[in-house]
Amino acid sequence: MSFLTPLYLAGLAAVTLPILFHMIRRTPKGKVPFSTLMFLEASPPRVTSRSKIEHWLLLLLRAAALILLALAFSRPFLRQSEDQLVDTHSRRRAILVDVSASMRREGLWTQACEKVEAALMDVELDDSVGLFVFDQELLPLLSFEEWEGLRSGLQTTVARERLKAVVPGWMGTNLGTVLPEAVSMVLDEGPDKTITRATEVLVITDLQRGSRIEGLQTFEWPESVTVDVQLVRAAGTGNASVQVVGSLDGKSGLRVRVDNVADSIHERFKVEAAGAESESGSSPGAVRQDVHVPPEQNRVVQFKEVSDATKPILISLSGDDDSFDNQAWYVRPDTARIPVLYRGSGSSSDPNELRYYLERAFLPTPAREIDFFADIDGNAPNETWMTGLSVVAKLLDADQLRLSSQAVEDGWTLIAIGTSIETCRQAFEIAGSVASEVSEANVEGYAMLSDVDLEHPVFQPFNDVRLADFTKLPIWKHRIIESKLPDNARVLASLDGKRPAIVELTHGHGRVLLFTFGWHGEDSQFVLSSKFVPLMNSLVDDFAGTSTEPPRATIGDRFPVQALAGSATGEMTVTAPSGFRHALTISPSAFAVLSEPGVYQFEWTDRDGQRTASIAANLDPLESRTDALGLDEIRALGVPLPDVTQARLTSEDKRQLLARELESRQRFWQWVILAGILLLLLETWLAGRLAMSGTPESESA
Amino acid sequence: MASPKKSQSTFGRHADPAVLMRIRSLELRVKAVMEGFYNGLHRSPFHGFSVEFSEYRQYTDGDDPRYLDWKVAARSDRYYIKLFEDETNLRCHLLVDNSRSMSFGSIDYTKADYAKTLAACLAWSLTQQRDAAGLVVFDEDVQDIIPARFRHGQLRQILMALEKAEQGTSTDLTKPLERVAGQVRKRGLVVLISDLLASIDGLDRNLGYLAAAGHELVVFQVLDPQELNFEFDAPALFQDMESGREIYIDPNSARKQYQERLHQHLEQVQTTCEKLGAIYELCPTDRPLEVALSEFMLRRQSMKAGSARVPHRRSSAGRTV
Repeated sequence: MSFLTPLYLAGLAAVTLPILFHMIRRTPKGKVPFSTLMFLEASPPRVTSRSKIEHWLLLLLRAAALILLALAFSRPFLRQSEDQLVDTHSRRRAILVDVSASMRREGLWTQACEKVEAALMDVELDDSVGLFVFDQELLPLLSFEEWEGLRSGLQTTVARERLKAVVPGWMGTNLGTVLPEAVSMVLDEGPDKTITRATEVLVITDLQRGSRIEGLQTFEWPESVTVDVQLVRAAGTGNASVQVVGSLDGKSGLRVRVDNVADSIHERFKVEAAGAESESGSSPGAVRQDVHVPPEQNRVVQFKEVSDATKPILISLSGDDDSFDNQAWYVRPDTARIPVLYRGSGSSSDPNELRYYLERAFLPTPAREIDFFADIDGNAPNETWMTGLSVVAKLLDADQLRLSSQAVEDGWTLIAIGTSIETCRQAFEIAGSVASEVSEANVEGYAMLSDVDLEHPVFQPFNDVRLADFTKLPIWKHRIIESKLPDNARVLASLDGKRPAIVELTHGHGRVLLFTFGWHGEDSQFVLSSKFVPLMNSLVDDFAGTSTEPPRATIGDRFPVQALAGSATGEMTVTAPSGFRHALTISPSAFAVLSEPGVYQFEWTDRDGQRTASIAANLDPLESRTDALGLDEIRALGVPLPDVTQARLTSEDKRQLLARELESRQRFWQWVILAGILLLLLETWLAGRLAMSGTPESESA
Repeated sequence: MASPKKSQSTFGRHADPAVLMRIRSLELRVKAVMEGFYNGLHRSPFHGFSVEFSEYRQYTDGDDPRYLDWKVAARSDRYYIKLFEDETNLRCHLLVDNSRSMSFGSIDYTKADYAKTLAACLAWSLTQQRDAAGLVVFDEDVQDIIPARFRHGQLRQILMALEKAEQGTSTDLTKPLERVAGQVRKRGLVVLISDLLASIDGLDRNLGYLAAAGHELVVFQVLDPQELNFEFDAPALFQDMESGREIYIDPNSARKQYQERLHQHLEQVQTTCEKLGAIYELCPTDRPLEVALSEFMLRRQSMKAGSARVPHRRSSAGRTV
């Protein structure tokens, strides 16, 4: 048993007090206030001392309580063995090596390896060491368990070999999450927690400004851990990087940004954009621009025309020292051709007919173009049902009904315009529901759309207070669905009296959108309202999945493959820029990890057959901010870096530190205090009981 | 500690002071005492006011012939002047001790409670008779002073002053008595209510000032039954309430000596009072207030009857106070 603050043991002397008080007792029990003492004289005081102890138990309890209090204050702890007292150098140390993209700069990795080597040389016999690499995540090269499982002597050899197989990757740095994780790993000593070691985290990094150190601020650093940051510094005189901002003027143009770091001595750079397949500088279609970017500033460069717009584009930067971030890739989104098939009546030039408006409603976007077909006489071949978005505004015959229902079941979308009771019923039949009871509404004045489900993808463009006003869309004639809607129905918009106006009926993999009013002038002013064109384009985009922005990705992202494949199932083949291929099963939880810069190719099969997509994975822009942070900046965030005073700790100080840590783990004082309190309670109860039962006795004593 | 139960047996027909003191309002308490006390005793001050016959004096040259009693002259052939009550109202100052020793009470209430009630009863009685009542509350210094007046609200003011009086420190009669002697020029009645548990030396001198100034003196010495009998049981550390001094006392052994010394002190007080012509009344706090008051009345009346004062100087003969 040892004591952290043995001086408090002097408090044990207080144990004599109860004995003294017990032996000497004054007879008077209290004070009697009296108006005057002028007629009184003091009686001889009867302060008696007794040579005999009357209440042994009481005395023992009081003495024991005092002893326990003194013990608790002197903070007792147990040392398991004397060896631990001697071995104050035993450490549990995590060595973290930065393998982020910025470590690719010239000379940094060699420096890092040297520092690891030095750290491994410094390892003592009883040390427990873990070797980790980190960028955005912490990965073990040699875990503590493995280290402890290996024969001493073999440990450092294995660590060296494993480090040799590692080179810096392309990912960004996130010291804010990695360092706290490493600290918790160092502190987590497994089942054998009795061994006390100095805990230390050694971080070997370039500590560039984009290391995301803000996360360190919120971490509560344990007292027992020290963090030693060993810096590697690049010889270069500045770094500039290039990133793609986006396309310019529709399809062919491109905007790129050039960033220069604060400590750069370079200001003039060259930017070149060319097809990714051709070698930089040698491509005949390559376009070049000179750009002047002062340190700590950025400039956006515009390329009006980049050749071969369908291919991925590689943007290259030259003029700085570090080349790891001098390339960026850009993939233009493919333009999809979406057929829209109109089955109704009317001529293309008659403004009173729905066809006239529908044909003109679809606007081409970089992501898709519309092929509009009109089947006026019903002679279109059966395959046309299976090619795109159908807009049905007439009664179908039995064959057409069956085909359309089949198409919907297979995953196509059909828009049914309920210009009559029959066409409304027909929509339910296509959706595989029982033909509903539908009647013609008797509208006084006009009806308005209300309760529009703005959360639905089709109405998403209107999900803004400035755009969600549907009150200027008068509807003069509409149909009422009298019976209860089937389970597969969802009302997207209502008319007055909560009557469904737009109903989505899901059937199989597809769906039917039923409008209970006509779009043309006879029924409503829908085609002339400002809502018509956005709604039509929204319907097509929702159908074709072209509403989202062309996907861009940063290295290190976990790209959800379902965002590409949509409703398709089966396998997806991912080809990395390096040519490495692997297959994934398409599911909501399947991700493609983008680990290198370049263009990733995705191949999968859906209802249209073979589909491909390309995604450009670029470097984390923060990783290009290579100007170095100072140690003071991370110390300011509370990171317990060893300071000068700590370096001067004597062996006695270290011994004291160890004792403090042992004591703080064992915390015997809490139990001792608790025992003391219990004894005092017992003493109070006993004393009260004695006072109650033996007052005359004690007075006479 | 023995609790005196004497009051109920000895003074059974009067209100038990313990019950009385439970009445919080001093005004109500005074009414409870005085309304019973005055039943049949009180005479209306309006009835025969300032026309009440007092005594005869032989006519001498210079006397106002208007006051000659012609009937007597006709009957006895001698000229007598008929004297009436002095029209000047009585001016009475109530000196109430509020020192810390007065806060002693072995029964449910303290000496201070008793003293205040007694003072309030006297003030009420005086006011009822349209006499001027004043109040001096003191400990070692004068705490509060209300000059003797007869006016509307005076009684209430006195009662409030008595009620709000905070416990003082030690007793010193010198300052309050000197101040009363200095301030009250007009002759009147001075009623001192105190436990007089202080050195007797100054009392003689200080009361002497007032007596020499022509004031009529009344001394109520209020003492707790325990102070009179010292019937404590257990030995204990006794603390002087005024000085805070503590001594260890075994009551059984100290009782006899205490009683002897106390009686000696009381006798000295009484002798001093008699010497100065003051009415001395010892009031144990367990004695009903009516009894104390009526005994005081009787004493005063008998004293008046025996005194040979010049008639026109009398101020309040025949009054209840």
